[in-house]
Amino acid sequence: MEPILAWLVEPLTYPFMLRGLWAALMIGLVVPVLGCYVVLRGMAFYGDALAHIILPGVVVAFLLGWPLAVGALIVGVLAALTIGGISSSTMIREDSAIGVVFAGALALGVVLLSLQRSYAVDLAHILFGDLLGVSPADLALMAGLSSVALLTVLLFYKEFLVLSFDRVLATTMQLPVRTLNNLLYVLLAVVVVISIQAVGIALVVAMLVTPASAAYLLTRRLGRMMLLASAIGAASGVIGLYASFYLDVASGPAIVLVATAIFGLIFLFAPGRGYLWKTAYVPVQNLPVLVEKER
Amino acid sequence: MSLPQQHDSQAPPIRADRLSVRYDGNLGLEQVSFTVAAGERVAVVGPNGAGKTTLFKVLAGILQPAAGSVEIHGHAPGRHVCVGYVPQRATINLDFPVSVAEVVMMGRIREIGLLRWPSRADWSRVDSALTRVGMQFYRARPIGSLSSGQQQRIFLAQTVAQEADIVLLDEPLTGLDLPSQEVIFEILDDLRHRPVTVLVATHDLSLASSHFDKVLLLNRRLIAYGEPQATITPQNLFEAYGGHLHVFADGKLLVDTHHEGRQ
Repeated sequence: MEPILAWLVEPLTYPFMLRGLWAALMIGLVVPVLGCYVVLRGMAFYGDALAHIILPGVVVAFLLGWPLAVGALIVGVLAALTIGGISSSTMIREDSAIGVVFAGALALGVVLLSLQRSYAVDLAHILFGDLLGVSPADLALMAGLSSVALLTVLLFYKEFLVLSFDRVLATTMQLPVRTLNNLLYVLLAVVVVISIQAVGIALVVAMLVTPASAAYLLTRRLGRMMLLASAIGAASGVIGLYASFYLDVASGPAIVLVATAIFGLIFLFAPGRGYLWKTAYVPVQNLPVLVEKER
Repeated sequence: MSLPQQHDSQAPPIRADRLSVRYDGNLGLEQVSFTVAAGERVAVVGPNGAGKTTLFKVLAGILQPAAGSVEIHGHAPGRHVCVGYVPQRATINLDFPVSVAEVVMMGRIREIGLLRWPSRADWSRVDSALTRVGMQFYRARPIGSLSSGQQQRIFLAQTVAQEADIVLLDEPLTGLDLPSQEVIFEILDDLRHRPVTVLVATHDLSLASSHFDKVLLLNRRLIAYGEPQATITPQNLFEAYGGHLHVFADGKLLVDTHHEGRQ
């Protein structure tokens, strides 16, 4: 018991590791919740694009000496509303609108960045995350944004559910469909900004899509899917951070690799829906249920 | 969100007056006028592209009229939550992770209001709606695990939970076997007493004439509207379906639904 405990505690004696762990845990818990909407609504490309679009905001904030997350948040929200505006007011399809804004913003970000001398080092941090460089102020901002995101999902849970399941019903019920859609896009921008610190622009899509997809293989209820995705995300964050400490590898990619491995295991072994299960057994989920448990 | 519109108790549930609607720039409906009385069950019949779905979307407040007017209980649609609209099944993502009870609860979303969770009273309405359609033992099942007929009953239960008194069903019978169709009609018979006014888009002329109070024959324009025997005549059908209608020597009709109209 003693050596295991020491092994677990040792990294936490470094303050930067402790902050990194808190950040990994927070990101792992919150981002996959929004990721469930991304997976169910087929918005993976949107999430990936949003992360790259944020680059110029990060660079400008860096130049002005602001917290990077503030610049990222402003650009992220603007981009979310711009994409929504282009695709709802013209003939251009949403994925094309995303592509236009995505490429333009990324190019602008790289140009701005190349004006800097420390180009190479900073780009690597922005692209692949720097969990060990999280400052106490970063951590506080992350906690604030995470709470706002979770609280909003909780408050609008039933509206987002109807909107994602059956848009026609949402319209028939006279819900403010466009406002709710924009709210969801802004929330996505918020969690993308949170996760950039951990896994970087290039791998944000992993935090959005991988835990939620794994959870989707395990349940057919949105609430449970969100809880499971959260658990998988948090486990990936913590295990990935320890792996990066002891194996001396970059923390962001380590977290993503752990999440991918968990997805792989669930994909193979999920009861009823896993690949091996499906090839070996007859599915039992379609048998009639005679006695239902109370809610 | 604005408050739901009060009903004018003197006005009929549905009244359309020279209603014209554009859909994707084309004229989807042209000068359509008709009135439906409370508790009536109307079959909306016509070839594909005749404007059946367009008509339903206007009544549900999703599309706006280009000319003419339509009234729900005496007021323009759009602020009503008394209209339940069940679109064609193909438009809903049935792999979505929701339970049967959650789908039915969606009908109460306006009644519950923003920033609030369903109360115990809301859940008991969901349960009684499910009982009404005979699906009370399926409440925890994922919606995607049910058969088409069972899913159709769940969406009917959703309109019951919504307390809709006008229900629009877009092709609810397509692809259902006869027993499932009969179950749907039994539910509609039960709802009639509340009274719930029901419009059903269908291709099935024999069902339209045997199970409905009135038939609304549509092909962009209103071809005919009234009791089934008076409406489903060879001449009216020929006007609605054109060359895709075959009249046999014994007087039986066959509508060629595979090549009809503009899609």
